[in-house]
Amino acid sequence: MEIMQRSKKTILSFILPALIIYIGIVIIPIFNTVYYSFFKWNILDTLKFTGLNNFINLFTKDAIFIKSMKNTFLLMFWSLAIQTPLAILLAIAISGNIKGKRYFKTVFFLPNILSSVAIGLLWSFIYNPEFGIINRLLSSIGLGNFTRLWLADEKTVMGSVIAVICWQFVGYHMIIYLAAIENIPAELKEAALIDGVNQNKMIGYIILPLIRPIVGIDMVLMATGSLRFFDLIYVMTNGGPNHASEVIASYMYYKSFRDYQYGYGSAVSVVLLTLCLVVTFLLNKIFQTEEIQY
Amino acid sequence: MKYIFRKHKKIQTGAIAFYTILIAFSITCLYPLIWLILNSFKTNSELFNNPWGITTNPVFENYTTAWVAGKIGISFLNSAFVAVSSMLITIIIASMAAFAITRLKWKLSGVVLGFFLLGVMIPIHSTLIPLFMIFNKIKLTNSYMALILPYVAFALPASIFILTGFMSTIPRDIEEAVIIDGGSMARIFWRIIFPLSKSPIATISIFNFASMWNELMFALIFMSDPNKMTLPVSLTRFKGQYSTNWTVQLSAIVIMVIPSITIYLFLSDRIIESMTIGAVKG
Amino acid sequence: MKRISVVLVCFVLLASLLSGCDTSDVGTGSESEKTKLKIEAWGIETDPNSRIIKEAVNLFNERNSNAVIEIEFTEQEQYKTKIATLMAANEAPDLFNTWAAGFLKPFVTSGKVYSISDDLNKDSWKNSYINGIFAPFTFDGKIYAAPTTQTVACLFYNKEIFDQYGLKAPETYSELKNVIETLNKNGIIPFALGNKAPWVGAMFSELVANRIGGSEPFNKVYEGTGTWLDPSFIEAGRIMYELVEMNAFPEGFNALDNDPAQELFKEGKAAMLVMGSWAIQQLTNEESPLKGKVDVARFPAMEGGKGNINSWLGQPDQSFAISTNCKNKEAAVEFLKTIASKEIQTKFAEAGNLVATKITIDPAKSNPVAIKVAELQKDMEELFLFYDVALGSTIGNEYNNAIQAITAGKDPEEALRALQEFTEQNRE
Repeated sequence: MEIMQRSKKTILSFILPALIIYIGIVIIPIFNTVYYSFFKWNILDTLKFTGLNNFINLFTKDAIFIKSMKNTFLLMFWSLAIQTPLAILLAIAISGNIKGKRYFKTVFFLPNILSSVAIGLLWSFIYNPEFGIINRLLSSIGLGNFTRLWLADEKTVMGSVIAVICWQFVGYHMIIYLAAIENIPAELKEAALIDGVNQNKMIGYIILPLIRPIVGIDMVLMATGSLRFFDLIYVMTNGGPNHASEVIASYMYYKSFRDYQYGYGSAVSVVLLTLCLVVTFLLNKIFQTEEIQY
Repeated sequence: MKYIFRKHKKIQTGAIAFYTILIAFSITCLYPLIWLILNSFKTNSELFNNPWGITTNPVFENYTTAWVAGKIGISFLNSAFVAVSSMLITIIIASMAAFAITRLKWKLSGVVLGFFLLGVMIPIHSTLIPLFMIFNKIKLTNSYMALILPYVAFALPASIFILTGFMSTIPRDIEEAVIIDGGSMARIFWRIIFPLSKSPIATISIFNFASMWNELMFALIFMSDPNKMTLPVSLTRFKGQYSTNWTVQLSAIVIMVIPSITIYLFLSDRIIESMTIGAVKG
Repeated sequence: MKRISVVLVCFVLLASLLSGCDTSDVGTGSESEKTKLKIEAWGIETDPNSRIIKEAVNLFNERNSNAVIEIEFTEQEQYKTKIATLMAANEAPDLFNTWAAGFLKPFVTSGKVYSISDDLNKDSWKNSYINGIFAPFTFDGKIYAAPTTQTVACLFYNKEIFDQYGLKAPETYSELKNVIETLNKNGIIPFALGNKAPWVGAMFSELVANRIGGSEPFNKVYEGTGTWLDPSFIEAGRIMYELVEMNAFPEGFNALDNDPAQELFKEGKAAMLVMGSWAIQQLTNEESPLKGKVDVARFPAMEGGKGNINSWLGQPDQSFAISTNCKNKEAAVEFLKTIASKEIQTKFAEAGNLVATKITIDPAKSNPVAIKVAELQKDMEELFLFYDVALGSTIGNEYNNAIQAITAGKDPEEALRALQEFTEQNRE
């Protein structure tokens, strides 16, 4: 038995298919990307080594890239700031044995199973200034002054996109918190109730501290997810108007596959990769120390 | 008595407020979809003049136009083929890898697991340009493999993570019986471990299928042949082609979301669990 | 660049199959000796113009004993990537569709394109083309592609509405302002402009800028000797915003796609449309409610401007180039001649195109609006290129974005300064 489990041939035959695909499609290309990022390269030219020039240009000269960084962080910040509390509240609200729990759970989660492309197109209709239901609703209740071009106005476009992101994903985070809340041992809650702890205190002293680690993990997910955001932006605004909703991922796509500046586009995706790693690391750090304190 | 009555009433108003908020929120989730379906049966002018109501003359041609002329039908089949094959391949090679990591004895198994888990942090964007170049060179673009390979590769980390978590809990002595009967490791895997892992395999099938069915970025870049495009891409292109025909666009969106919603209605608990498991267990 | 996509046709032959060798599987013995040529073209196979190109291919195949042509069409946006990729991989098709200037230039500089100058000068083939049409295909004095048609930006207007309110096509900006006022008073949208894809408004602004400052400011930007901060560009931006404030465009025009905007014009809700001549077919076909009611005029002049009302904005279109690794250049040139033949050119004209060669068209068979454009063009003094064609899409798209931002209220000088910075960074 031992011999069979240690047989190199057996081990390789089981691990290699996964390992080869993973290394070939995920790992090697990353090194290629990093390599390309030091070159000036449009599709027809041979690669010209430019050292760190691409990165220097990105951060010192490229106003559109700076804007897309800002937008990405804006998106990340608001995703976290809106979704986390909302998801926690909803999770607390439907935890326990309330009536219609299954219904709420199912419905709140529903937008997650839909493709972002479908959601983006659907919301483009909803935001349509002419027949979209948002402007129609506003005018019909006498708030005609608040109608906007939503996705076509530089001032409202980011807000409109963030609203859709929250609409799509808040249910997902709610389910994660709900699972965490329901994992809190029932005795703990009962004990607290016997001690005469009221609902608010229960939330503040028992539920929130106990789900904190999960909130941490979930915020890492949300943050890295926001950094990668592409689909909704591509479908709803394509980064426009005038780059007002450009994010790092859409800008990378644009530079590489519309302007054919592959070296420069690679530099953008190296920045994106670095940000993903840094954000994961930082948030993990923050939540780890908090856990220890607690 | 009076006191109790008042208290009772207070709870009721509280409960009413509580439910009103929850119901309002559930309407926010549902209404856009209901609006979508209702309006997909209208004509353009009906949509324009009455975006709220229900049409009395449903226009089914919207759907046939989208399905046939808009090539949504072909894309639907492409998507199904790509997603199902990627999912099956992922299941097999991820379980094999998880088996090797958890049930076979070698020094590097932990390192290899860690190496796979690293992949969770990697955004697909940072592999896009090199993959595009390689696929172009070996003429893989516009073939289903151009999508299946990256879909499988990026599904591996999370799938292996979940499968190893499960397989390491299967008791060790279960293999011995087979060995004594003279079976090979392959036999142990296929006859015992793989069937035993039904539940995590169902889980990874669901969340992988969902992301493969919906994937846009790879599909956008690697598939330019309209006859091979997957649904998300052809839906974005469809928008350009039928830009004045709003209700046909709506029908196309419905065609994209209906399968997901239908499956969800039957398996919601399972799906919810599968799609959030990565976070909960992480 | 989407304007071009709305345009006409495209074609491209896949280069992947070998030609020139007699392993051809096309059946009979005689055919197997033919060179196989591939054309990569842009567009959708069923487009009217794609059909004509296909007819030309068939005609060529019937008449030529030494080569057989295969053509493949690819949707426009993807065509760009496809052709660039094929070129980079050294798998260029024998012939390919190309846009003028900015798109073709990198292929020429990297030696991928065969110069047809010598062939054009032989047998005075070149003389059959309209004068000056080869300028945007000329690099270092050599010509690298031949156009099939041309596209110009036109001011279309609804005759019925104009007659109803006693208006005539404006020749100057102040006349235009009067027209706008009258139309607005009567609840009619002056211009059907859908600027969600920003090339639409940009095209409009290019006309305005040219009427104010002539072609020189843009040519200087193109050569790198001038900047976008030339007063004529700033003034053009100001006028664009003035038009917005006058309600010359539909409400929410920056959120409106081009197609639905064009519908407004077709349905008579809007009275004017500034659009490329490719729109002629859509505006005048059998299903169009506007059939017989469309007229066309030159874009009005600006009082005190240096530009001329007889300058036209546009581009030579449906152009084909031969790649350096084409296996049979003689046959490829022959195909270009087929496309430029009276036979095929007449078909293009009858389908509502402005053609690239000097042919006389039978007015009975041709589209009246296209004929009117051709008439107006007789006095043409200059054809200046769409900015995004001339500069290539990177800088061109950014110009389009800048104009969109200006129409949304951004200060023109500020927007153009940012554009200038971008241009300096991205100039090749």
